[in-house]
Amino acid sequence: MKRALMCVMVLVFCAASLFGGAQPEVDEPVAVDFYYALGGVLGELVEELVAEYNEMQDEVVVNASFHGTYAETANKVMADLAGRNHPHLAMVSLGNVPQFLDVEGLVVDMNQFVDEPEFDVDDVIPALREAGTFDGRFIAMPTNTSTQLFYYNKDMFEEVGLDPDNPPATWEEFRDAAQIISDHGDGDYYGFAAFGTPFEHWLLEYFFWAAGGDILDGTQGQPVIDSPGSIEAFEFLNTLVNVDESSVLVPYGDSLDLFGAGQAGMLIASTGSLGELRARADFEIGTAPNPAGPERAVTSMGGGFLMMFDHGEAENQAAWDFVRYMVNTENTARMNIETGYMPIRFSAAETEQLQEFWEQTPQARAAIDGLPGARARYTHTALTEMHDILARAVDNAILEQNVTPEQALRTAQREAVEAVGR
Amino acid sequence: MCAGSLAKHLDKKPLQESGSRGEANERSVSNWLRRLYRSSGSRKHTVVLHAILLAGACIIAYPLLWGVFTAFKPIGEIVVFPPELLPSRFTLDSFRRAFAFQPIGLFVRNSVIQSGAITLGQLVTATCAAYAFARLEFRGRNLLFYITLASMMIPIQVIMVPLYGFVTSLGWSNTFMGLTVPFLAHGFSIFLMRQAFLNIPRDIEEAAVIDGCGRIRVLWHVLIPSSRASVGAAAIFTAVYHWNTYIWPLLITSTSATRTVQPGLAMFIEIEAGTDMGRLMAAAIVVALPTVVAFLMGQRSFVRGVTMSGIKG
Amino acid sequence: MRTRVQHILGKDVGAAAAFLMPAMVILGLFVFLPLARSVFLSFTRWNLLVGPEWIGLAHYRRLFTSARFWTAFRVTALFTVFSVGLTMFFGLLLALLIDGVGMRAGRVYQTVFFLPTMISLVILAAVWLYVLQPQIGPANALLESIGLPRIGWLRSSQWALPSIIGMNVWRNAGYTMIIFLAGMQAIPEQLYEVAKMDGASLMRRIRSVTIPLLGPTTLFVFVVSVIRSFLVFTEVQVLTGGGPGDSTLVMVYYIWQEGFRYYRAGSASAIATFFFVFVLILSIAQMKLSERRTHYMGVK
Repeated sequence: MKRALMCVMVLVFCAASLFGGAQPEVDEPVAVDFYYALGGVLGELVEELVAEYNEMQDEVVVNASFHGTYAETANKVMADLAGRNHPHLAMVSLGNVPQFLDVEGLVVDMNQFVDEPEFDVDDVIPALREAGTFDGRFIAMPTNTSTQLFYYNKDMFEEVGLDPDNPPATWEEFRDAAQIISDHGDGDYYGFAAFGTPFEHWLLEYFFWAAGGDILDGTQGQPVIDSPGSIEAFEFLNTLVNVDESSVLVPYGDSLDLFGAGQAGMLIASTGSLGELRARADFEIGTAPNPAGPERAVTSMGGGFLMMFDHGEAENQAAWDFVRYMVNTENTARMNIETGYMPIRFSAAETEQLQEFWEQTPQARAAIDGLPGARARYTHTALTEMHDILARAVDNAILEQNVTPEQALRTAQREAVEAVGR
Repeated sequence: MCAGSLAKHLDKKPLQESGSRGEANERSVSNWLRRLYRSSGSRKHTVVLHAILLAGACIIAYPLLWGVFTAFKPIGEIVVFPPELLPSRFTLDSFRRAFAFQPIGLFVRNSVIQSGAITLGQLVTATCAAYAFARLEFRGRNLLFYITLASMMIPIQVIMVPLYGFVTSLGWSNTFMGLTVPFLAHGFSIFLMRQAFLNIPRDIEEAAVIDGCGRIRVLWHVLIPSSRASVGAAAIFTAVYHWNTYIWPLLITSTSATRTVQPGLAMFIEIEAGTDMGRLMAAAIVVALPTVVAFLMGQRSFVRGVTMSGIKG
Repeated sequence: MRTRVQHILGKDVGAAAAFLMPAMVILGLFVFLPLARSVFLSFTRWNLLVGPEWIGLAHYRRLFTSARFWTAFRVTALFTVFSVGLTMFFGLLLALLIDGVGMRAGRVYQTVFFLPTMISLVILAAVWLYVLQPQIGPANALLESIGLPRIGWLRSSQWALPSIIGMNVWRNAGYTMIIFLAGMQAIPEQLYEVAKMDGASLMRRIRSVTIPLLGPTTLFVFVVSVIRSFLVFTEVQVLTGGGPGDSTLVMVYYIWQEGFRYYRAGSASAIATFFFVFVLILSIAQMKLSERRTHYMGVK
């Protein structure tokens, strides 16, 4: 197998040198493999963009293939990287980017491309570009990014006597609003549907940060799960669910269900969920920035980023050509309109389509307004494990109440330190 | 020629086994007895059995009905409180959305090829191997059999990375070869067929051998017909199991040309934005229909006595 | 020469080789070869990108001091005991009931009972997650309507494992039923007729004809159910992710977590290898013990 590969490579080198070492002339289009994650409307749009791209030029052919959830897609990429049989492009969740960086030279630093005038790097929202930059290398191109958005049921606010145009802006107001809603509903209403156990802990980042706590100290730093701010935040969440009993902690999909069915008055979910919630709800949905915590107003940003894996200069260039297409002004505007994921360029906001869309759907506007307060979610090679460790802390302290919030975080901290050390 | 004499032996055989009562040898008498057993006991008795079965069927079907009715609900009614089982009006909207979204027909075709090839392949490899384990004498038979059993104890999750590396190195990525060849033999079907063969009285085939049948003919004319129900069961399980596999087809296929139904269904799920449950359930119903057909086909082998009349006829 | 080989290896060795070849080639290449690689990896450190780097028995040593490993063992054992027992009980019961009303009349029931097996776990999970949703799901609505308190189902460490066992039994009873039914069809009808003529009641016929002659089938169902239960994975992956806490952390999910969530292929392989040997020994012991008591009509 290896010998055959060597032969082929030698032949290729010979052929290449015959042509003077220059890039071979483009007769055959360059094939670019692109793995994307997530189905639904997003998958639909990605397939559409790829088809249009393949249609409009004949130098590059992008083969897009769906590979399941972010985790499943990452597994496929890792298995391919293990055999050095990897795709050119893959859509990964921001938090997982570091796990691909262990081997030098496998991933492509997109800084080498972004300075070209066609790309106009200054138009890209700086926070997003920073999120995709690791040790100075621009590794991950934001495509379908999202932030958390505060959703509330305007009809229910009205019903229980809250001001539907004045959503809670601080944690105190937030707690009170939740209490008022749940008192009103005779046990069937929940003030706030927090998503947590068992699959996604994105929400914890918001709570921790808003109270001045954190999960990691710096990007690849040490766990600080039991810092005072984190404990304060965890206790606040526990108060909502177990002391006031005004809120519930459920899996992400359930939180959308509870809110969509009109059982929960407030929700923090991805900006990308707006379309589906609007399709389901028979009430008016309000959106606002996340309520400010004792320390700061903040929202966590994450979502899908494109990574490029090395295939030699010519093919990298071809892959980049598609990346550039995917995040051009028009297409990022489309991404926002059709899926609710964020536009990554300032210029997108000036497009006619987006202006028109915001006119019709003012709720979508709030996500963009919240962007200055957005902070990229933490990333780490051991992110998934930290994630599961926090999941157990949430289960033990808030769902089961076997231990106090503080004890749960102390245990989580110990486990996380061990996980990072392995 | 050897099949004809077999019938003779088969006809006598079970009676010798069960001892005495030679009078049942008369075909008419045996038919009469069969009817008697079928109408076993009183009518009341049967009614009670039916009542219990019906209750069980309702309990088992209940959660599934949620899924089925969800597919026919208008989008705003899918998740409501308090929960409603039935839609206020039936709509095919979800089905329209499902078919407009992905080439479900193509996924179904691919799964038919994949499950069909694996099922046929496993039936061949399993009956052959089971014959060797049940009837042939050779040293190491038990060891090999335990090794076969051991193969059932290895979850795909454990060997996935090496297996994927190996299959990819054969150039079988995104091909039907990659989808099917690794599963053309399985400990489960071998074990199932071995158990079935071991339970067939040996003197029938000894008679067949005396009459000049070779091993393959014995297998084909005696053992397989006599264990039709087990062959049917093995076929149903294999087909249904592979119809429903997710992880491997998701990993090995990349395009609609080879995508099978389960990874296809996963394309309907969007965790972050929220899943359109109506559309997902509509697609799931379409995808489940062929398995029901496969089951009904395999089920036909489950009739007592079919073996013998099959050979006689 | 030929006879000598036959003498050493038994008399049918040539035929056996021919009959076993196809199955063994497939199993060898696509199960045991990857397994061998996996066993090798268990002595290394490998994150799929860097390595594998040989570290000897370190993973195994770590295994025995890991609390989560033993939790996974306990949860898997609990799951297996209840799941196998209940599935076999209900499977046999359903098969006897259907055989009682006659195969033809029982067809519709068979189909309904087998339905849960026919539908993929990904879809069943979506249905069950909704039915068992603690706040707005129909299961709790039903409990409340008859005056019982709500249950946390999959979101409570007390109920999550029983819920998964229940769903597993619900799903696999029909499957077990089919195997029992297939086995029952192989029982010569004349045996029942004789028993009936001797005046045996229905229960008696079941006890003295059906059950003993189902021996090989029962052995098969038992061994296969135990193996399948030990390998339970997808239910946990899609319903609970091993939680709440670690209350549904079954072994294969634990292996999956190590290998495919944390990319510690070496450590995952070590757990897998240890667990594989354990299940293998258990299954062979189980086979040996029960084979002795099993009556095969085809073996003299």
